[in-house]
Amino acid sequence: MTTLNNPQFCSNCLYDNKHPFGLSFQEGVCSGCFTHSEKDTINWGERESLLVDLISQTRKNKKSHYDCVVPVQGDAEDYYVVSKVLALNLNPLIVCVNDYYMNNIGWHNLHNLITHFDLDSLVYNPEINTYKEMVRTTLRKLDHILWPSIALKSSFPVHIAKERNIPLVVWGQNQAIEQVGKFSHTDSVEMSKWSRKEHDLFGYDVDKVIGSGAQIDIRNLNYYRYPNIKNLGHSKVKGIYLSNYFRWDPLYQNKKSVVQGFVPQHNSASFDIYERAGSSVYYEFHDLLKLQRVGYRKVRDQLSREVRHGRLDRQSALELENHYNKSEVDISGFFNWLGVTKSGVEWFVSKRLPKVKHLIGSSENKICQLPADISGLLTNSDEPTREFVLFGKGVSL
Amino acid sequence: MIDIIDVGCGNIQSLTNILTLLQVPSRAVNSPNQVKSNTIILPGVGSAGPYMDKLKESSLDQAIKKHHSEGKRIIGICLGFQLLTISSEEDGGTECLGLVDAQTEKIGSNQLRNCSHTGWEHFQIDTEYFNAAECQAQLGLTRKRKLKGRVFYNHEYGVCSTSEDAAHLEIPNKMYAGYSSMVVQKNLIGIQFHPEKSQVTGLNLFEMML
Amino acid sequence: MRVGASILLKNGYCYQSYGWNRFRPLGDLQTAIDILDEYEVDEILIVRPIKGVDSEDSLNIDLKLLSELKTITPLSFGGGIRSNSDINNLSGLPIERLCLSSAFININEGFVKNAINSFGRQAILACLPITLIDDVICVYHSEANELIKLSDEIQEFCMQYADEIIIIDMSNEGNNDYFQMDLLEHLKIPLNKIIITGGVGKNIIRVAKSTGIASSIIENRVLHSENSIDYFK
Repeated sequence: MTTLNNPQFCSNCLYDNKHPFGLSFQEGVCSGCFTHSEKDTINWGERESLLVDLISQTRKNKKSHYDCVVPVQGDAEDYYVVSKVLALNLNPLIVCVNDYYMNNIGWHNLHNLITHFDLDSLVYNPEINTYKEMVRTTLRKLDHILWPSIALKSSFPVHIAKERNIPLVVWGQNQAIEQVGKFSHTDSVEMSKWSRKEHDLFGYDVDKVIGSGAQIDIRNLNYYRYPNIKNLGHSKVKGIYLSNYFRWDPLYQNKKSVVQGFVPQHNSASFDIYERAGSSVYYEFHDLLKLQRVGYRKVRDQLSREVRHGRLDRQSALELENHYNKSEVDISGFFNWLGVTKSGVEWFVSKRLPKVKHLIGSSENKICQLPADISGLLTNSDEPTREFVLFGKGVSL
Repeated sequence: MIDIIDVGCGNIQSLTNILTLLQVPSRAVNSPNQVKSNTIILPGVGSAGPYMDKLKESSLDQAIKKHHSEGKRIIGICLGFQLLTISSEEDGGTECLGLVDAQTEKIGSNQLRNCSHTGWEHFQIDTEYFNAAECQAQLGLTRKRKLKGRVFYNHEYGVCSTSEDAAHLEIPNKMYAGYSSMVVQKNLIGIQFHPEKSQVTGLNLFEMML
Repeated sequence: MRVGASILLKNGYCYQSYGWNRFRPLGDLQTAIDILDEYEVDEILIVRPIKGVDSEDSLNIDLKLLSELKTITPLSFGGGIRSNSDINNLSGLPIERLCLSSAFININEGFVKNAINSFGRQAILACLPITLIDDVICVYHSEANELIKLSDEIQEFCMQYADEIIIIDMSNEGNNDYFQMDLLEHLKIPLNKIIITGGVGKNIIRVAKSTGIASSIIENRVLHSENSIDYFK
């Protein structure tokens, strides 16, 4: 096992032992690459059969019109998940949490998802003043602007499942497995409070994040907290990850969503036009903060994924990462949304973003050549025309 | 403020953790002049002989007896409970503090192959148990009157209490019949199990006792 | 019978182990312990998986983490505790029981007695990771980083000085429900002094309960699903 203080790099992908989920190494190869190699040896037909059995077991506890809750945000992966859920003859309730960061592409993709598949859906629009105060707090304490939305997105669908006696919550990929191989696919890990706190919320819960000083009425924080797990157990609500039962290949899967009406979004910080398309911050300020926090940008996750899928060699991946790392980030939209003055932004940039402020700007990154195996899975993509669309509240704040 | 006796062997951290969880301030004390609170806790992980030696070396044994004679509260946990008795068979025989009219002896009978008690047992108590022994809670942490749950034991020696002045609960397991689970005697509470590691039941018990 | 959970800790981080050979990351110790408290496991065993020489820095990192740990569940700890100064460094930690392996395999009576003086005999666990090779039970000697025959002397020493003995099925560690119960038939240790771990699952627990085993410890699997302990019990 590696010592955390000594940097260690995987000889296959681009990850090192500083990955926030943790990595272990054996003969120079990381646990993520090792677990990825299972995808080529697992009998996926058997895994699907296991899933079908599991579903029939949960149906015995069904007290609702719906078989499952599917948490979505209108991402390309959601199209794939919903397709699979319907193919399994499940009747889903689609649940979305509005993170107030979506642009016009994001709203189109969400509404198109619900329309194309003709699904029952709920969109939760959290109390915005509390939400913005949470964003201010997590930006200040954790260098993170997505933490509040992640807290809600990983909790609200579970509350709905419990409240409405829906026995199953169906998630797409298990990031801890796909990125760092934290478990084997065959461990069939399920959704849990522990996993949410460890992987989604980086060890924090809402009470620890608030601490003292945040101007928040705790009565507004109900859905930021995970349901009581004993009550969840009594309700027999279970959460599963489809990536444990189907061979998961995001770029290949996500391309298919285009024929279903999904609109990919061009961004200069990555080649991946599908993942988190429709967000005003994901490849902008959030990406910059990720670099500050963990030392790399989102594109490393995507490039490592493509190396593991055999569409890219490590050297090419390094060169591409180098290229995309130069991409500048426009943070003004976010701070306008948050209501921070110009001088406030200047203070923040000089005091809190010293290592990454050279990347703040709006210059376009040069286009780079991608290997055919990757470019062949990409389609045309759009640019957003409206950012931070506060759809669902109808007020100008 | 709760004073926790610290002679360098004992599970102090677990106790301070649970008291912090209950928002009850506490401090570790290792000399007589530091003992100032109305309630002291004598924790216990270790062995009677060396522990008593350390209490004597630091004169904390006298401080504890003085504390008791002044009518202030003592809570002894596990080995700490055993040290409140008259004597223990451990380490070839150890003279203890003599504050509880009871003896500590090695668990065992002809039937018992494994002569230690490690595991969870049912536990049930009513606040009347403390009130009747004039050992009411002082901090008002809970209005709970009845407690039912499970508690964790890990001991090789057990207390056989014969005092008529004390109220005592027996370990509710016929393999350990005759040994005390808990003894309450005026301003003194002796607990054989580990309430600080007995999860929710332990938390609730501390709330009811303190 | 108690049903507990084990966590591997090294250099301040938690891991999962598969087949005594491969490690996967697990995460933050306090986060894992918090959920095990909530699951109300009967006990938690934290082990430092040391193979061969330990590092003082590594031990200090782990002890510091333990000293800050908050839990209301009985905790046992071991791995790399090989000297009297190591024993001294454990005082004040929020642990109820101490797990020793090399000391018992080496039949180091003086060291074990010192541990008993500090913690009490009821708090001493002997840890024997075993496997069957050509019908001979072998135990993994962590200090020497090698497998040796598990002699009768070692077992008798364990029975004399340890309150309970942890038997790890090395080959099935991390696997679901594959613990080889017939390994126990090769041992002289009475079942009510044994804690089993290494491929413990629901069926194994059911069998272990019926045989009078003291405790079953689930390794990686306990965090793989919500309220798993209820399922296992």
